[in-house]
Amino acid sequence: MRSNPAMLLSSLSLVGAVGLWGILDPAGAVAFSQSIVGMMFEGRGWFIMLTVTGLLFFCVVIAASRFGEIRLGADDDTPEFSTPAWLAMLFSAGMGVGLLFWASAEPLTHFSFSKGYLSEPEAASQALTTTMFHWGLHAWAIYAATALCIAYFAFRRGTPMLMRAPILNLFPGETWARIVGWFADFAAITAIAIGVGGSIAMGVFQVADGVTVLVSGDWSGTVLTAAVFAAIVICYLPPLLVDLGSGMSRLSNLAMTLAGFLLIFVVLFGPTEFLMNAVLSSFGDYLSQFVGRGFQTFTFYDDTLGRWFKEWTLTYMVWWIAWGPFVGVFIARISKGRTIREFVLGVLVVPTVFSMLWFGAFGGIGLYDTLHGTGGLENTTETAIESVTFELLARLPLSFITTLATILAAFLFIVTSVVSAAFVLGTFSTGGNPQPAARIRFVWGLVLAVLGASMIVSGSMDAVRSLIALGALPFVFIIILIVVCLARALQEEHHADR
Amino acid sequence: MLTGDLINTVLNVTAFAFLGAMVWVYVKPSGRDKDR
Repeated sequence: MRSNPAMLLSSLSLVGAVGLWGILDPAGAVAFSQSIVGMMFEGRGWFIMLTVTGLLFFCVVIAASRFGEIRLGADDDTPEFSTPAWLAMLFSAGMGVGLLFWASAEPLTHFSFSKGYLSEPEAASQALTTTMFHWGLHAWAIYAATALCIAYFAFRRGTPMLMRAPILNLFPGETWARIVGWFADFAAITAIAIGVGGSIAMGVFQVADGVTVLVSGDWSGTVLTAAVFAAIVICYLPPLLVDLGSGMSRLSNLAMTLAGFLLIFVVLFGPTEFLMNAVLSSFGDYLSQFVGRGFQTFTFYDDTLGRWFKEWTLTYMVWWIAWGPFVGVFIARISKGRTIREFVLGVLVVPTVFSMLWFGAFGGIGLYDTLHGTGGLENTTETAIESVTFELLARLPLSFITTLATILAAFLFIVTSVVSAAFVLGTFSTGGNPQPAARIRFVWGLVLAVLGASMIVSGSMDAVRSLIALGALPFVFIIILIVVCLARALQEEHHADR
Repeated sequence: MLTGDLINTVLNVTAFAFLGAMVWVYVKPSGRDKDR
């Protein structure tokens, strides 16, 4: 395996510099990222929506065509994991801290906004459908397409699991491919590092808020946030120095199980009939709208709606793109031996259905409170969005236990994500070494801590989201390029078989 | 305003040029094709 010191040093320097800039001059860093992202979103929202919808279309067409029968591995390979274990791992890849954070907060924010345009019942329905659109098939198509490219070239053509692999495999020895390939890995590293940094910040905001709910007292916000951040960093740094084997995946499964219990608890102890009706009707609305929403750019509406589209839909899509290389490598690793059809069905459909149940239940209970209760949760989305999940749990029985479970799940999601991300960053920055040296993983762990700290001092989720979007923008181009490479490779394989 | 328009035009041209480049990547003969 060839080491890649230029990639390691340049990526560490750039990402570390971004993190330091964010800490030393948070206002300047946020203003810069907002202006660049704003410029990109202002005139090129169509490009991002076209990309994301195109990826979904690509996945569906590939799975439905004769290429769907191609196996990710040798023709006689069998899947490494059983289907239930594989699906459970897919869940855990997608079940990040974001689901805990936005569970009720996002549908309620959309509801407040939509009331300006629609009647209350229509706004409630639209709020759930929109949230499902943001977390549904389009989001998973980004992961599926990235993972499919990595898995196909790694398992069928024996390339390392890197973003440049598809390009170099198809165009060996060509200078343009070497240069573009180098930037592909560089863009992936930047997107992963800044995306995971954002998740650290989001997790810290949420865990700190949960602690204030559990342990009432005169907490200073800054001290508590710093303490939670320090605890997370202290927990994830040691595992980077040793090989924990399956230890991390067990912790991740524990976080998943806690989240699953929370979902069941909310459905059973909340207004069950209302929630199940909400899940079902919003699922139907989603099915009838998701194709149109994939092409919707709100160009014929007023500026307020246009701004909302950029701040939510476009930002979400770019957020998934930021996570694409990280989640893509994870999904590729566990999918050896599956056919492309099985792979696409599993990655697109199963996590999407789970997200729908999750948001239908948590969003539904928030809407129930707004339509039939005190309406307090809706106000919280405007004053302290990170508190919404805990306020919701406080309205149900056993809130001490469920709050504790949420804090623990959030904590575990962040720690396991950062450990996995440091591994993937180590792999990408050392030319594809699947077991990067402990010191390289540790350095990436420190850089992610610096990035997380810079996003925390930026002070708001809006700032965090614009920083993530900035990190992910270059990868938008790379993801299209590697998908084109995959399409070409599949054609080549078909012609070779004839 | 003029600078903003200029940047906007450059970004649009980049987006279209990129899509064109992807068609080129899809159809371009590679070194391997030439060897066959």
